[in-house]
Amino acid sequence: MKTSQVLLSTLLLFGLLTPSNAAETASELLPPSTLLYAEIKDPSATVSSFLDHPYYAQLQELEPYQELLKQPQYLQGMFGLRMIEAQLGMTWRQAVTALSAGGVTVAFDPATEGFAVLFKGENEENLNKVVSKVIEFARKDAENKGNDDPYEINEYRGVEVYMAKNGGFLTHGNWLIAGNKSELGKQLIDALLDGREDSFASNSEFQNVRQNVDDSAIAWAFLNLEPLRQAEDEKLQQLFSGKSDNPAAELLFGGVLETLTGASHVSASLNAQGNGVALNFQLPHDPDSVPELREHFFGPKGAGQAAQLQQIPDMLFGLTAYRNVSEMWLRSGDLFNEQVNDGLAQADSNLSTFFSGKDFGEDILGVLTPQMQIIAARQTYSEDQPIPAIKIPAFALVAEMEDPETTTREFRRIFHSFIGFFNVIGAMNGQPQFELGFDKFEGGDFVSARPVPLEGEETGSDAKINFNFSPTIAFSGSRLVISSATGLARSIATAERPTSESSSTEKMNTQMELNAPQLQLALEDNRSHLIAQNMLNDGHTREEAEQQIGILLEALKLFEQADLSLSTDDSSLKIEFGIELNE
Amino acid sequence: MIDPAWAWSPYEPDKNGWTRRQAAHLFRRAGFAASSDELDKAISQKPNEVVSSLVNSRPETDQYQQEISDLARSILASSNVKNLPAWWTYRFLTTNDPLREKTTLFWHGHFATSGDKVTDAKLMFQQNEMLREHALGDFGAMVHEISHDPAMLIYLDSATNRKAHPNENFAREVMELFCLGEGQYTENDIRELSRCFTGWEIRNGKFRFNRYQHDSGEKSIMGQKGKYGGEEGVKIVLDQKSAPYFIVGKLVRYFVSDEPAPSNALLKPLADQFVNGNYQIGPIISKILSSHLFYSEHSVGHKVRSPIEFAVGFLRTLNGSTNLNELTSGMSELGQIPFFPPNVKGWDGGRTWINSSTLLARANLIRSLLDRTETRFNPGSLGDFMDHLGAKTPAKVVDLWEELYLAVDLPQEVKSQIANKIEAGKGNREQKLRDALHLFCTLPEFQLS
Amino acid sequence: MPLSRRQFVALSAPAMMTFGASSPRFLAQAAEQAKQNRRENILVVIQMSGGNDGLNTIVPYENDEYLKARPTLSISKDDVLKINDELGFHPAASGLNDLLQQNRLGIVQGIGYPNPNQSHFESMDVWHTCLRKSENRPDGWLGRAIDEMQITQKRDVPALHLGNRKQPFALTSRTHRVPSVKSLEQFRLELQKRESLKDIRSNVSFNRSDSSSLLNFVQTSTDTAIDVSQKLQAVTSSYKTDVTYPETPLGKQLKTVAQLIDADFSTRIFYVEIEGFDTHSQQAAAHTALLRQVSGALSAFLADLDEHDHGDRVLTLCFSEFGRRVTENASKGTDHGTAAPLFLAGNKVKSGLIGKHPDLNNLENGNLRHHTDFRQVYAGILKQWFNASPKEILHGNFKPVDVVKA
Repeated sequence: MKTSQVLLSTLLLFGLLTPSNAAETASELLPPSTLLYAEIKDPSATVSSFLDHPYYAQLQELEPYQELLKQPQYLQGMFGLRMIEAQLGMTWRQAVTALSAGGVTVAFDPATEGFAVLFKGENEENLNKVVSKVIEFARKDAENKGNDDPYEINEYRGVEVYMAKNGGFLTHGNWLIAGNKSELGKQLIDALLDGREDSFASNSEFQNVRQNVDDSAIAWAFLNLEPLRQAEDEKLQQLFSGKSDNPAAELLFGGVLETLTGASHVSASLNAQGNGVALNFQLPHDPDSVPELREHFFGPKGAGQAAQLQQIPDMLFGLTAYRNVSEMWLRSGDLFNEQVNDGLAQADSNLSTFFSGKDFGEDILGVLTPQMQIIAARQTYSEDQPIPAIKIPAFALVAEMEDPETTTREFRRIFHSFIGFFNVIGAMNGQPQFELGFDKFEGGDFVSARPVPLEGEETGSDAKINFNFSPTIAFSGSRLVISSATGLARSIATAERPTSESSSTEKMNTQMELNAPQLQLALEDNRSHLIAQNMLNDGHTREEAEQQIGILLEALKLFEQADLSLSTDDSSLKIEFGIELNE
Repeated sequence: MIDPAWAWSPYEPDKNGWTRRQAAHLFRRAGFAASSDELDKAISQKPNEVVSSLVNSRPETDQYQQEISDLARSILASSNVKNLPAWWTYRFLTTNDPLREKTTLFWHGHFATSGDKVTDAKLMFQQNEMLREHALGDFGAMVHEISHDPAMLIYLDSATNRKAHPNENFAREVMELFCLGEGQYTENDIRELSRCFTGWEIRNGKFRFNRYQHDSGEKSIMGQKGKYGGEEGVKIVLDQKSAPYFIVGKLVRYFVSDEPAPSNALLKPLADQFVNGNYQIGPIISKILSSHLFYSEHSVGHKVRSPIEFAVGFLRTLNGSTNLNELTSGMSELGQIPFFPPNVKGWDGGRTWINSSTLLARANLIRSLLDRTETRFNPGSLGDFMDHLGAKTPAKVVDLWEELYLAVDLPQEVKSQIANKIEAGKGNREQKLRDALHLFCTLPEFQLS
Repeated sequence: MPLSRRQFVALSAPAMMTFGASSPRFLAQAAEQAKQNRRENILVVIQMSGGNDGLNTIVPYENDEYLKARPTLSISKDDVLKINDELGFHPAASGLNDLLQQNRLGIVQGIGYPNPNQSHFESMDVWHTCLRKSENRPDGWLGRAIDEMQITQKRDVPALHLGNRKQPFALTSRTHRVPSVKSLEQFRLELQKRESLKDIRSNVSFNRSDSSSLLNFVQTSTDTAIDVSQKLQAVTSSYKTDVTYPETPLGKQLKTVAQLIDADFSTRIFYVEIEGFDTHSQQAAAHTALLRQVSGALSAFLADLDEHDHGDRVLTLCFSEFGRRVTENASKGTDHGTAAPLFLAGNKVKSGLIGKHPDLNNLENGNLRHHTDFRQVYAGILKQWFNASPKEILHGNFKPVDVVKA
């Protein structure tokens, strides 16, 4: 405490001697101890680009949106808004510009435990006009309700600070600053008046990140991880421990946890991109320092790379990843705690039973290369087969075999005994039986199993959910496709394989894409069930349920694709999440 | 000692005697409680007219039936028997033919069959439809149907029945649980009756008669001899003197009072009518619901609300709607899930509904319903609905709740304490009302019907 | 004195004060009942589903037939925890070994039944109902025991099943409904912060002048329910034990049982399950993990009970629907078998090995022959522990095994 006070007074003294200079960015005002820095570059431009976008117009065309406009709450809100606009003498969009043309920054400083929001306005005059109006409204409102004046005015070095219940705000020049801790507030005022020699802006990592922020970024953020890593919070310690203690979590983001153990900071940015937006996260990452324990995720020396995603017509979902699942399974003793390992030992016993006595880790997982893909597609049904009432998309695992000759034989046999096993169990539970089929195509062959309808139920559109499944295994050279339905297996096995681009230093670890039009169709296939579920889950009447599902299905039509990727290069790990709107 | 002649004579209230309170009693028993509007409609008619339309008309519209069957289709498509309870609960909650559902539920408990064992949703659903069709019709026809019912035979481990080893399970239940009651037959009767059912099988979810496995020899059941088949065996059991007493006795317990068990003397007029009317169920229920006994002190407040009556009644009374999947999964803790009776005897009801675990579950179920955003009243806030019904003051709200929900009067002090919660509790008005309603539902009186 | 009784008085006091001298009779009755509950014997059943490998639990480590039959799975002389010159525990069952050293574990060997069925479901049903599939099985043995015990004294919740799964058939009663609870949360009255328990309680307990016996019954029951909720909350929030339970589902469940027992709950039978014993392949690691879970949780449970002074009135039964085949299979596992040991644990239990280890030279289709029927153990428990009549409950006359110390 003492030292910081000394430091502060020294700074003050120093500041008094330096000529006052207007800060360009919020980072120049903030203390070096700032933990989180997030900036929206130009809020009014962002709002405009959304509201002026043709999609917004399209959205407004939707029936439910029109319904919303007729709601009394909406009308009341609009009336209120127009009143305020009249008082301000400007539209609300102009008011946003006045307040934040130079950007809005949110920051947290753990030294003072203070949050601050810094608005850089268009100019001093317009900024003050809006702020004073807002203060006036608040005071009038309090008066009307018979409450006390909501603000108490304090002064610090000639700057008026409006103090409210949970914090305060002030204006100076074209800055509007709000915060919750007076300690931080004073520092910010000092910096506004005197400038600041040692500010957050001089943090070299921060500078680095800031320089690399793309022009297209709408907003971006920087989070210093070191203080979080030192914090005594149990959850944070768990997060930075590098342990997942959960096989599913390990498989999904074990590598990210690994990177988090050493990364100094994380940065994020939200970018407008083509017809959509993308959210990027970036962490410093050193591929050479990946420990053996996490080679299942990044590969030896971090060199693992996912296969190029196999494309098929009308794909619903695709995922390609580098994951050495066998190695993860075998290393589970070091990756997880005793309870998880106890569970895995039991799973191992069960799975080995299931796989006719094969060792699950070595004989099943171990014969595939770490390049895995999962692909899903909507199914089409033929009229001369029972059509299931609930239509589930088909999904498939695509992998490469280390030793195709042996593995093809092994897996073919395992598949046979699998189907036999299902048939025995199914017969006991009155489920449809599977009939095995064999087929060849250019460069490979299939073994498929088709559910056999009961006598008298050979066609019809209300068949059991089982009729979504015709498990199929396809072999073609070193490629193995295990699919829930024959159609998808065929379409993958016969599709043209992407030529692998041996790319630069960037290694794609995981890539996922979801195609909205196909998702829309898959849901549309089940519209009546979605309506039924909505009635039971939300207590809606049929009309209400029909309307709600209608909105969902309509709204989905606005989207084209969502994708998620995880990649590394020599110095960083990137996670990118993008949403693309329909053309 | 209740005089049977008085007990079953038609109840005729004097001019001011037919009140909303009495109509509420009728609908609690004949259905799953009534809303304020339904009560107004009921008292505009005479009690026997209301009962007659409950028993005789089938007011569900084609559109409603379509909606119900679409819902069922969707549930069956999932092939998961655990989804069925929500479907039936939806029907309990929304039907305008409540007596049929209430009676179907009665038969479901009588011919208890559990999805836990049967697991095939479609078979459970088919049985349910069958029970609904016969609920107010011919008891003999229903027993005939149930003895061919795939779900029932699977439930009783009687899906195969070979003549070398007759399966006694089903025969036993026909006598003990379906028609006569314990002590009305001998073990020999069971063995002989089971021979009648040999060759009755379920294959691929369908009943079939396997004549190669049928024991076509002579059987001796209840003193009668002949080369009986299953149908004839059932007929002999139904013709026993104790059969009508057993059935009408159970109906009286279900509709009138849990305890004490009705005496044979009290049941005689009904039993006679049951036999003379060829085992038609509707007229018996009609007689029960229109009787002096039904509206007397022997009946009103003399039943414990079953979990279904409790949960569905809570919502129906205030035009409520909510997440029914959550509601039905919550009901397992209360001790009753439709389609999942605990054993072959069905639900015992009465005092067995009540213990610490189930009472806490009742209070917690109401709390969770009141806290859910999906829970709406008419369909909106509780406050708006109370205003709509003209209950503008706290005291009036509590009066209304008492009138709609309770068979037994509340002590004045308790009423004012609840009103005080609405007046001076914590939170906004809606929260205060909902908290008060929760308090109201934890009262001992609320557990009675 | 354990906290719960003080707690009870403290909790009842406000209600008593509300009514002054004319405090409702049922409150006094409830207090008396709580005292009574503290004296009654309790049975805890741990069901090990899937078929526990008895031979690798109580290991005949010197037996040549055993070593021959289990080339990869046998447990060596050096690893077993020796019981005597022939038998020893699996090394993971150190908790059981400790209990035996403390004279608190009965190992009843060679348990089974005639014409053993090797389907999990059917064999489990036999254990649960004591009857075969061809017989009429409307209820379970514990259900029938409850029916009998409730005649002499009505208990609020005579038996309780803890777990997420379907209720065990054993607890099915023709007249009483046994609650299945996932956690203690289900016994807590959920309130919004705005609400007060006092309000609910005072309205529930308000003296109704002219109430029917049915209303009276519901009122008493509701009051008991609120009481249970309050006591459990008090007990669970302040429950202290020096014992560290393993962080496993079974450990957690047994801890819950210990808390319920300490809360003077009226329940006399608790039922918990652990599954995964169906070890057809790669048995060694899986079985080790399972035995560690069972023995760790059980020994912690007994220590905890002792610490809270309930050790003398709780008996725990651990059983599995069958043992496993003597000869291991090609997948380093074992297939469904027949006779196996079961365990009884508690301060009052007749400790030590009971009955002989089944003869490995006299197999029936590769399976051990049982010499003691499981119903003899049930008979011992019913007669010596619950003072109930085994004959009706078990549908037959079975010579009771001595389960309680002389």
